[in-house]
Amino acid sequence: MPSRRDLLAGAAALPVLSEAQTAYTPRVFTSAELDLIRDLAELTRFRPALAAAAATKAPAKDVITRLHPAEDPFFKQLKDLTVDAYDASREGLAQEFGWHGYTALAEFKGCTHKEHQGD
Amino acid sequence: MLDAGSKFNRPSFWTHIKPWEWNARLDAGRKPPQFLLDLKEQPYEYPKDRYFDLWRVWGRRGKTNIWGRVSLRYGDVDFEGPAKDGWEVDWPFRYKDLKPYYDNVDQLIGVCGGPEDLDVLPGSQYHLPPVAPRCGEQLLRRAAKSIGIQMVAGRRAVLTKPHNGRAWCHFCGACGRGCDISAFFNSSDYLLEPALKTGKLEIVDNAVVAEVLVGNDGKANGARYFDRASGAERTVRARTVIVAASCVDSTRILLNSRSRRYPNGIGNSNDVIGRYLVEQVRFHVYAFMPELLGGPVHNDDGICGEHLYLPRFNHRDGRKRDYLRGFGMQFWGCGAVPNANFAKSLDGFGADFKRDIKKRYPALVALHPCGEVLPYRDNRITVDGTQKDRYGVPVARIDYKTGENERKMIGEMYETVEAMLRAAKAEALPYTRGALDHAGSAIHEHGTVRMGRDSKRSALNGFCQMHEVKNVFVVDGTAFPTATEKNPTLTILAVAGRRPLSGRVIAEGRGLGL
Ligand SMILES: Cc1cc2nc3c(=O)[nH]c(=O)nc-3n(C[C@H](O)[C@H](O)[C@H](O)COP(=O)(O)OP(=O)(O)OC[C@H]3O[C@@H](n4cnc5c(N)ncnc54)[C@H](O)[C@@H]3O)c2cc1C
Ligand code: SF4
Repeated sequence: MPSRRDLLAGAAALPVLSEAQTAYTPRVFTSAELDLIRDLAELTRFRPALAAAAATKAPAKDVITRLHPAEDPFFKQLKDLTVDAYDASREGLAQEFGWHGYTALAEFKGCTHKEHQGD
Repeated sequence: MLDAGSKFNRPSFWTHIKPWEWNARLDAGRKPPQFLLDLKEQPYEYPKDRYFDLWRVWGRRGKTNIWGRVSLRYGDVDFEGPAKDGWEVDWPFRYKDLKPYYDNVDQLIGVCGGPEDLDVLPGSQYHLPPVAPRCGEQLLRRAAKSIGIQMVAGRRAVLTKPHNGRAWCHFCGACGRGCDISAFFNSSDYLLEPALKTGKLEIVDNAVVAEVLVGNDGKANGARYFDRASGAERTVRARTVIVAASCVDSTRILLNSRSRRYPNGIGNSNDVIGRYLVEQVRFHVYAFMPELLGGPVHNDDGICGEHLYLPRFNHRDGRKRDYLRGFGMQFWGCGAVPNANFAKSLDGFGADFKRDIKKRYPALVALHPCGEVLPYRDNRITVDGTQKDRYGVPVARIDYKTGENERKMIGEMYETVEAMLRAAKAEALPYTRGALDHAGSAIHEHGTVRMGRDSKRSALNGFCQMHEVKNVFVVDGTAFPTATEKNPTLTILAVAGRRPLSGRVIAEGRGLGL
């Protein structure tokens, strides 16, 4: 496993969303990046939090978010990467959210709800 | 015709590839079609503190391979703007002069749209059927109406029914990756291929033009170009030269066309070319519609991008404003989209966070106001920097900043978004008031070879013909004296089609197009 320093340097170098031309090209992750996310999650910052959670029986998320509040850049980047990885996956996007796009349709009905009309 | 790229291979587009399949393909070492020009191959410059986001597609049909297809006619509110408020040069024609050419273009390329006919957005009898709005758009329209703002059917160059024998759209919503059945307008399939069939057009691919050449009589007589594959330098002769390499590259070519006769670039003795670069100011606000939270997820793809448009309205209420011109609004990205990027702006963690994302996923709406930027003399493209491309040709340097007028307009753009969201009782994702996209990200650069009646203050006449060098025509967005708040491509096509250019030069097959 790479050193913690290398991992953090690697994480810092990941292109952030605004740099990818995302409006038209989905931001996608290579396996190397996904490995990096997993390694990062494994890293010491989370282990003590999880250990603390186990010891105190407090929910892990409370301990982790207390130790690494949302504004913590490391935490924020990890969360963002997880969102990206998850919502580019079949499990996240199709099975969990219900997106079934990029599919040829015979017609597009749009909004058919009377209660949404009113114009 | 000399084109810096070659034809993109439609069967190889990754149009219907789902995000996870896309990942798998990348992992397997495959590459999607590379539409965007690699900056390592062709860099451009900008001052350190003023980044300019330049998108270039070199290859047949250029940016129309991946464009957003929003196709809005300019109205007299646009054409009369400079004459009325006195800011910079007037357009040399009015809507009635351009209308027949808009009609031709609509029939030729196929534009879907509704029946609305407004002073800011003239209608068309040739619109193909509009596409039904999604739930979120419909609710936004209702909210806008409740505060006196009209939203209309979107107008997009997408074939919503069979047209001129072409395949029509199957609503897969993946247009930004290039349409594999060519159901939206692109200049290769819709213009160049039919022109090739006449036998009167020859296209030289991978021909990167460096300059327009000039004879002793002061007229253009050809072009110097480099073969992109071998780097070999070549020249070609012509009696008429038509430049249409998109704003930045057309300007670069003209400014690099220096000779004893035209030391400041061809047709640029009045130092107009390169100046008055205009784009638009833009920002994005995302929100969730309460009626849709936790509701069913629909296939919201449609024709990708907005199905409704909010035309300019700020001139209607009689209120005096402290800025000139106006803004409109687009709504791409409403409803179920192939990502949940919004989640990054939400607080939370773990299972609750996941539930929260799922609840909001079908309720997303996106508001993208787009405002006109005035032409300023110092917003400009030059070729005087030190950097040269691989052929030794000076690259473009773009120096562009947002002016005070636009800063004031942005205030009202934010107020409008906020009023709409209040009326909709929508919950906005966090945003920073006053924040703007990078300059250039509207991808609508124009104005740097502007037309006008006064040959001292403009480079072209109303037929895109150079005042100074009569056998050079510049027929892209560079020719526009103002930006307007609208997307320019439909108007680029209509203006390029105005006679005498189309009637006299192109029909006689004598032109050299760059
Ligand atoms: C993602 C995206 C979304 C957009 N959405 C919209 C929209 O919704 N509505 C709208 O109106 N507009 C939109 N635009 C802008 C629209 O694409 C442009 O206005 C339009 O393509 C301009 O046409 P053009 O022929 O001037 O330039 P391009 O389409 O850029 O074509 C330029 C051509 O010139 C060639 N070329 C460049 N340099 C040289 C050289 N040195 N020598 C020889 N050939 C050269 C290129 O190979 C290319 O063929 C969008 C653009 C992008 C990228
Ligand atoms: S939505 Fe229509 S125009 Fe867009 S890629 Fe699909 S078929 Fe082509």
